[in-house]
Amino acid sequence: MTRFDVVVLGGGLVGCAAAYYLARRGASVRLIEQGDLNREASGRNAGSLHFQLEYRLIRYGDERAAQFAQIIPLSRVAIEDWRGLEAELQADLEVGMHGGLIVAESESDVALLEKRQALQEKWGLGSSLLSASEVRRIAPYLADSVIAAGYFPHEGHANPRLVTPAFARRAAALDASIQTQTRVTALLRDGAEWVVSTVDRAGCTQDVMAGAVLNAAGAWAGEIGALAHLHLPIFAVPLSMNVIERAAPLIPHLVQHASQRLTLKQVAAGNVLVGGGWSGRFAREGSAMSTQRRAEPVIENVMANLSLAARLVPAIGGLHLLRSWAGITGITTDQMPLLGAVPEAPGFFVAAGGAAFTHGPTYARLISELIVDGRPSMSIDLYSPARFSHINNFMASV
Amino acid sequence: MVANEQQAAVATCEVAIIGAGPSGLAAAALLREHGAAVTIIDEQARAGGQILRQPPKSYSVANWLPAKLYDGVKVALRAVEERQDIDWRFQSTVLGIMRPSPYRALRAGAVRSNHIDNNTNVAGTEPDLASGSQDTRGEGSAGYGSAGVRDSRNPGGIAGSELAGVSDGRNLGSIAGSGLCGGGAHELWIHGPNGLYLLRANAVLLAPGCYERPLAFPGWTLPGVMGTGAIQTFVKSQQFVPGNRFLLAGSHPLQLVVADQLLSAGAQVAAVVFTQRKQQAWLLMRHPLVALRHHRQLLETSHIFRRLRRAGVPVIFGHTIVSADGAAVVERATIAAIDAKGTIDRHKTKVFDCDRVGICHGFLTSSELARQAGAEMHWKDHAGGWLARHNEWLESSVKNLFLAGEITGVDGADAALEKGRIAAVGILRSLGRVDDRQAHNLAATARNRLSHQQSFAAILQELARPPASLALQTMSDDTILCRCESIKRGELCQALADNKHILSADAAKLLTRVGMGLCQGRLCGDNVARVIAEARGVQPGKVGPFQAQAPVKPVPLAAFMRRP
Ligand SMILES: Cc1cc2nc3c(=O)[nH]c(=O)nc-3n(C[C@H](O)[C@H](O)[C@H](O)COP(=O)(O)OP(=O)(O)OC[C@H]3O[C@@H](n4cnc5c(N)ncnc54)[C@H](O)[C@@H]3O)c2cc1C
Ligand SMILES: Cc1cc2nc3c(=O)[nH]c(=O)nc-3n(C[C@H](O)[C@H](O)[C@H](O)COP(=O)(O)OP(=O)(O)OC[C@H]3O[C@@H](n4cnc5c(N)ncnc54)[C@H](O)[C@@H]3O)c2cc1C
Repeated sequence: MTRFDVVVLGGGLVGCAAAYYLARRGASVRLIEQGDLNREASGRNAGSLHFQLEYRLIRYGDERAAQFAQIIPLSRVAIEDWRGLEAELQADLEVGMHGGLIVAESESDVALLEKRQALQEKWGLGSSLLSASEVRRIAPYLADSVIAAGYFPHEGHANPRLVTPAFARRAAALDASIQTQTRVTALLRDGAEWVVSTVDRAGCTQDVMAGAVLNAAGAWAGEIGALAHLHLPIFAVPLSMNVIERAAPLIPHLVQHASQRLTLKQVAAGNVLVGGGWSGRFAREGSAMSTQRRAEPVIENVMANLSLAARLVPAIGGLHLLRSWAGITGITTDQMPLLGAVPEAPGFFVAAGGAAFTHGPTYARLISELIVDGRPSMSIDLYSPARFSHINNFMASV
Repeated sequence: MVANEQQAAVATCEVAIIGAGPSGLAAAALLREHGAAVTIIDEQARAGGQILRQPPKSYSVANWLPAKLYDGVKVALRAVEERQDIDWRFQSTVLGIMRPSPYRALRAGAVRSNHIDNNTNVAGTEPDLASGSQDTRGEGSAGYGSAGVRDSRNPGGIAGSELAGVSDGRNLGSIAGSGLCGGGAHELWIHGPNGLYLLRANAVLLAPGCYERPLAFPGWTLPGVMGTGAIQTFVKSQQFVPGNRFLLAGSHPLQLVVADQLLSAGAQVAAVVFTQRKQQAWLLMRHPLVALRHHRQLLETSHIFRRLRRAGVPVIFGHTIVSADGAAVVERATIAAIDAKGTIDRHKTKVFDCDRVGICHGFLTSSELARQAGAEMHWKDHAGGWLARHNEWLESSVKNLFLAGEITGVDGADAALEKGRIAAVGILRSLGRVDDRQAHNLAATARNRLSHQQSFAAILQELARPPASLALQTMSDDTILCRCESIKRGELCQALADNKHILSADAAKLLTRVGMGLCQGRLCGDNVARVIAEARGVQPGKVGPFQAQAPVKPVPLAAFMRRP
């Protein structure tokens, strides 16, 4: 049986980046992806690099917001990772970190911004609160309804189309073995080693040995966990995105809203991407939701999302919508990433959940350090799957 | 358009037909005959589809479509176009075929109107602004049967001045049919003259036709290079000649018809160029089947040849266009010989002065809605590229999504009529309006005719087929492959060389933007698949079509805006 030091499950951004960082640290790596690389969340997302606290993280009360703010240390490291990524991968990833604005249209929005700012400062992320006239000066494209904005100069966006393939190319150049159109069907522990069983499109099955398994299956990480008799509390959610036809350069920033679901940016080609966490709809398989079939956008949500976008940036109101689509991403029960080793299953690692476009390269780098060196360069205990040991305690097999 | 913050305007109907071409119209006639309520949606302003592209109603054109070739379809058009008991929705584009939410129960109060009235003026409802969205049962659950769940606030139809803003002010009838929006229903996103709305339909007939297969070659994006069919559309619908001197190049016999029409409209034709060698074309034309069953078409063809000869128009076989040149518009075109193996011989070229070039290598199905809806597709190159799979009732792999016309194979207008009829029977059967035995009887004649027509179509497709590698030979590395995104063939090839894991058209699109533009790959999809297939040593069918997303055509953002 062929043996690899690490078998990475999932060929999205996290999996491909991990394959690269692991290979760079000298590990022999096999990556297994059931479809094509980058075709799920990592290739369908909005490409926002958001380091300020997203609306979803602060909308559920102060206590929870304070807890979610623990993501900031990871964000601060991610800023550095993104700044160096194009050089590291020798590729143009259309990284544009020209600042992010979280806009306020009411006094209560401003109050939310202030709260956000205080939380962020506590964890060392210094953002500023811009007045209406300051906003107008740096972002004249915004509507007059904007009365203030939280501003963080390092926010921005990169192109999801380019990032995962760049990692995959570099991983392959370091001899990582990448197997697409191949599905993981079983994970069995054999002492300190794992046996990973797969089946490909042609129906051929194969078993490989692995010194460690890295679960990078995104929204499907729970299913991969179940193959190893573990519970990973991560839920698949369908989010929709919209792309608007090209326009002359107008919007250099990442634009978000203080109290509504919106992300808006203009990519290098000139198209404007509008998203922000509006839900799409899963297909149904019998009585269950299907995460194996394509999710669909929901027209009401598309309308709401676009209306909000055109209200804030009136100049886009005269353009055409090109397409809407839905992608499936994984959210953990506590919105924090699942990043680290599962104590109940030696050799089983997870890197999933959260805003893993922004944080994906960082997850991948840190988990590769943990797997190969036994210790990551920054503490990731806050995000460890060990916080669910009270569940997996009942799942552990000897 | 919006009832409240949460909901989009919704209309309902029993059978929605997408496309008022021959197949859609033939289906409508049969469906109405059996009492099914029919709503027809077409982006054009009038019925007729591609082949009968009608002149605008406002002015009439003398001698419209004189050729006898179109008799059958004209009859089909005349039979339905004035019918008031069909809910016509013109200048309306279907942007997507979606599943109605399988997660919400039907709220009885949300449905407006409607007792069942099968045989009188039946039509769909207009978007229901007053109560907003009407929900449906889950996909897996059975349809609900009676009028009991419906609201009788407004029996007999929708009056409602609140509708005036969105309806076209036509036939506000009532919903007919049992099992309204039950299991397997569909929800269409439609953009019409009055905005964006949803149309829920128990069954959908997708009959979107086909379009001309583009060929990429140096200069193909110059103004003046057009589809030969597009030239014909100008001449046919408006008797307007879009140029002075035309060169027609391709492999489809349609070029002969268009050359003839151009001449009689007073234009000059520099030459008609066929990729086929003369003997090859001749052999197929003399195929016994063609000769027996289609003497009318053959006769027409020989008349055309005679008229072209008389006008001094050269008809050149065994050549292909290889480039078009000009400063701002086309000024000349170069053709080159093709050898017996189908390889272009660039030493044997001829140059023609012309200000228009018509390209005509057959057709591609308008498959975007089928792909968007998730219907299974299969690749059959010379029959129209990506075709939707179907069962004997022309139902696609998606329940209650039926297909008719060119989308199942580009077989021509007469076949489209028969497919429309078969699909209509399939729909009646699926709606429970006829039983299995009745259905088989009803469809028998149409099936019979269709099989004859398809054997002719197969020969025509064979005859009209350019050499398989033509598209790959006419493109250089510098030729623009994807017009919308300005991506050259060489750029795609480089990306394929650098990214060995890319095997599908979709993966290539994601990495390179090829096919990501305004046309969603309608123009480049076929050529992209060929380039990838060549690079990976597989058939284009293995590369897959681009996944289509709603809206399948660009929509002004304003259509999505909530009114404050
Ligand atoms: C619409 C949308 C917008 C988003 N916007 C942003 C944003 O702006 N910024 C941001 O930071 N984040 C955003 N996200 C979240 C972000 O996209 C995801 O967190 C991130 O891409 C996850 O990467 P991943 O590699 O973990 O998962 P994925 O990219 O989903 O990859 C997981 C892979 O695992 C494979 N897999 C699953 N099961 C198996 C199996 N049994 N065998 C083999 N392979 C398997 C899947 O096929 C898939 O390719 C967005 C998500 C969506 C859906
Ligand atoms: C330029 C051209 C010339 C042709 N000439 C001939 C000929 O001479 N002889 C012959 O036999 N065949 C010809 N054909 C083939 C011809 O299309 C068919 O034979 C016949 O018209 C097919 O009928 P249909 O019902 O399948 O589709 P069509 O007649 O094409 O009708 C489809 C209709 O669907 C509508 N539609 C498509 N998508 C949407 C959407 N998303 N929303 C709303 N409406 C939509 C279109 O507007 C169109 O009116 C030609 C085709 C083309 C493109």
